[in-house]
Amino acid sequence: MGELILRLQDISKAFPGVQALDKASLNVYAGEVMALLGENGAGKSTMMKVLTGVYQKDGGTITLKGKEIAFQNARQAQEGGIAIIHQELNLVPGLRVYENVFLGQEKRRGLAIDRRSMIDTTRELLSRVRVQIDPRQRVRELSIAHQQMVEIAKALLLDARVIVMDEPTDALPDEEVDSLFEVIAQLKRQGKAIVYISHRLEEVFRICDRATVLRDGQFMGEVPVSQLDMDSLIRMLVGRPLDQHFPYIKSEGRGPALSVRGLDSGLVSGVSFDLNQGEVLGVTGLVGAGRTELAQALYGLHPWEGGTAQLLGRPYHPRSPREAIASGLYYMTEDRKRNGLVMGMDVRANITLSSLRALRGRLGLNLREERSRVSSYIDSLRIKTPSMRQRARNLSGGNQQKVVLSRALMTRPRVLILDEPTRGIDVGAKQEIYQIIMDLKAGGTAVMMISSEMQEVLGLSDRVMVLHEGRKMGELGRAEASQERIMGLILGQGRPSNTQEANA
Amino acid sequence: MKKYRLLTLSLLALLLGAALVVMAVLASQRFSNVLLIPQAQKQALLARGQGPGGLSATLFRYNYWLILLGLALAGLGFYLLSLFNRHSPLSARVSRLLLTEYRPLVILLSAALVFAALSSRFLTLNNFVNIFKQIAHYAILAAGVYFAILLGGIDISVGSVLAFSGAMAALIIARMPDNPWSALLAVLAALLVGLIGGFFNGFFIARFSLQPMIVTLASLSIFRGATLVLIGGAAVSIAGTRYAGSRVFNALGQQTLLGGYLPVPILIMAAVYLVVWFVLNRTAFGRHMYAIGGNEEASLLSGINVAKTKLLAYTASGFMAGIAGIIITARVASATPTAGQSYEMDAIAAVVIGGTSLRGGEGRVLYTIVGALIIGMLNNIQTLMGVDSYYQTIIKGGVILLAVLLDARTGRK
Repeated sequence: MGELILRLQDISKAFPGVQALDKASLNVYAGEVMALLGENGAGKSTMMKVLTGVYQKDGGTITLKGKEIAFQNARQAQEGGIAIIHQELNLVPGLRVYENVFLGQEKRRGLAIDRRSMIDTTRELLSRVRVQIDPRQRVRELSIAHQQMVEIAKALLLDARVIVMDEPTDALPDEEVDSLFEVIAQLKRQGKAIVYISHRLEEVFRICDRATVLRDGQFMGEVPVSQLDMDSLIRMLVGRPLDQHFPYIKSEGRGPALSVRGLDSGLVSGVSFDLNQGEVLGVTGLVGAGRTELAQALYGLHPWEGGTAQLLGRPYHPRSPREAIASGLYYMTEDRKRNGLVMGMDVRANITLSSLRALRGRLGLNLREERSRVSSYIDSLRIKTPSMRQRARNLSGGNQQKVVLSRALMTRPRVLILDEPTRGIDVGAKQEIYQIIMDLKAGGTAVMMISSEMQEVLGLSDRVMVLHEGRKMGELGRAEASQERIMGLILGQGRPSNTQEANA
Repeated sequence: MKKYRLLTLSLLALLLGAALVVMAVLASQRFSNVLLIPQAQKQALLARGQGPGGLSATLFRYNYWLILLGLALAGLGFYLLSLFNRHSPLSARVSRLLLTEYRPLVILLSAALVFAALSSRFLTLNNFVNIFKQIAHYAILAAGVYFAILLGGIDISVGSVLAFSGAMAALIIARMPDNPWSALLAVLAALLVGLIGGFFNGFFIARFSLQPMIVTLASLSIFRGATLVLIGGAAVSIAGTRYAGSRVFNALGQQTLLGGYLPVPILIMAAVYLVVWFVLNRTAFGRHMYAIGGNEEASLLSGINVAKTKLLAYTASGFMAGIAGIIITARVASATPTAGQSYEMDAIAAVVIGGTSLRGGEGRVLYTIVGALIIGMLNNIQTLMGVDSYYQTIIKGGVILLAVLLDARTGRK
């Protein structure tokens, strides 16, 4: 057992409406890989942000090599010996490898930059983890895996004692995962302490020594991996009683709304499913399992390479969101800030953005009609805003989400695809959105709900479809769906997948 | 309570400053002379006893200092307001309105006051008709550029498109000396040229997702070259009575209505802005432009035909350049290959000074006229005061820089 080098104890952190961390702990040992596990929203990234000073903790202590610390910003954390390798790499693609490694701390010789010595040092750092990369290559020419190596070299240059890797294999093709794991093994041998955050549980068994599990911001335990198996790990991850009330109503079988057969599009391959009117189909899987890609393909954002679909009995193959909306399907994005709202526009214009055609008056837009329609949505969805002329950026997350939802509803969709409809909003607004989904269902709308939140999927869906690496892993009825079964499917158990063969 | 006292104080400073400036301006107007005259001349004026004495005379004697003091006070008021922005919702609202929503109007008003003090010939109806006449064509260009900037793009080709459409119009009139219908044909041809030029830009920007800056830079060069190919290096004159169509055509740039107070170019400018305002605020197309400029991805996901909207917007910008080409050619009764050169800069400056964000998605088109008016007034006052035209260009650059700086400092996040 390695020396305990970093210790986060009883860390608490609250955001308005959410207790993100509730006395969570994490121990990191030199020469070991500690897995930090938990569902989305369990508090993993909050924990890391508290560690590196991006957030200030409300309570608890952090000790590094026996000394209590409280970093104020990421730079201090870096100087303190903690390096984080984020999912989105922090490199300048146009610069060369050694320039990236030394970015901000270039070696100088007089006025000039000492290129030779920087190149030599970079080569030496890379050889420490046994990677062959020419330090003079431009970063954009490297594979993602090699770019990660450059980040690791940066960490080594700073002589980091603790290296945090946040979902490092998410962006990697399977064949490059192995080389990353070799580098991690090298780092271990050199006595570095590694915190490994991942959704992919099979990786935990391959490279981690211990696992710390968080759930709803609480510490669930620290277990040596040798004493774990997949089933017990899954139970630790999800094993909580239903603590929320879901306003589920039984579905009355109505005719089919959308049926998809063998859809191929980008990552999505061979997906078939049926969605009935007045039904909620939960869709779940890991980030990167192809859920959003499936929805966007059905919304006409990505070209189809194969497969057919029928919407309300008619052939359906949209080539743009405009066509999809005209046919009666609407997709609500998972990221309202990035591609949902127009932040600088007011609530009114955001709500009517997809339905301006219906507001045509004799001379231009019928603004009176627009105002009355918008205020009816503000009332019925209980959007809290001082006026409909308020800019969208000034609303809270939950109200912003309701604005996007109003825009979707105003097109009167027969099929509504919701992508992570409750991400980043508080509990009260969540409940309201659940109720809206149920009301829609009662009104005969077919709802496809993509969600990573297991409770939500179980609580609201009539059926659950699980995707894994772009393929449909299975479909469970409401009665047979359970957390364990779904989690099993999510992780790709149930049939041999290429990944596991390659890893074996 | 303390913050309300400070808010009152800053508003008071603002009002007092403005009042001082206004009084000094009125005083110098009374003496029908300018602010920046030598002290001896000023004394002579006072001694001659022109105008009533008393308060006005005192104010006039010290008006130079009064204006400086008034401006300083007003500036202090603004500064205090922006400082207390975060502390109280009321002052936040007041200062936000003054500094962002109404900023172009505030600048216009203060500039008008200061200029009125600099020259007694400034604040007259004739002079303002003159200023409007001078800004009409590039205010029209600016309305087109506003479309591009609203989309988060830019259109720097408008000056060249203007030249090409003007040249086409002049050439048609010159080549059909006996046909009085040539005026109509020339107008239609110039508008068509503008449409084609704008469509050209829009096609490459929308269809191939190219950078608007680069595409319009290319067409800036292409249409300037096309103009030279069309009419060669010399001007095409359509002055005089040799050409049947020239009288009607030139009227579009030279005729005045309402006893000389309403030149036709101003009328055309007003009509253009009326239509543009309507399109932007009362049609789906206008909403779509704001949405695309604000968040292109969200617009696409909302079912907006982004490519078509962009194509239409740039085409409209070219069309405006066509209108401006007609006005300029008609006003000087000739087309030159260098017409409209660097006008795109004036147009962009008008949009920016009008408070439109270069990031796209936010702005008011009527403020673009205000921006154009500010530039027009600046040129006018310098001409009235006899400032060397070389220096005028430098000063204009400085003002543009100042406008962008203001936008960055107080800009909406």
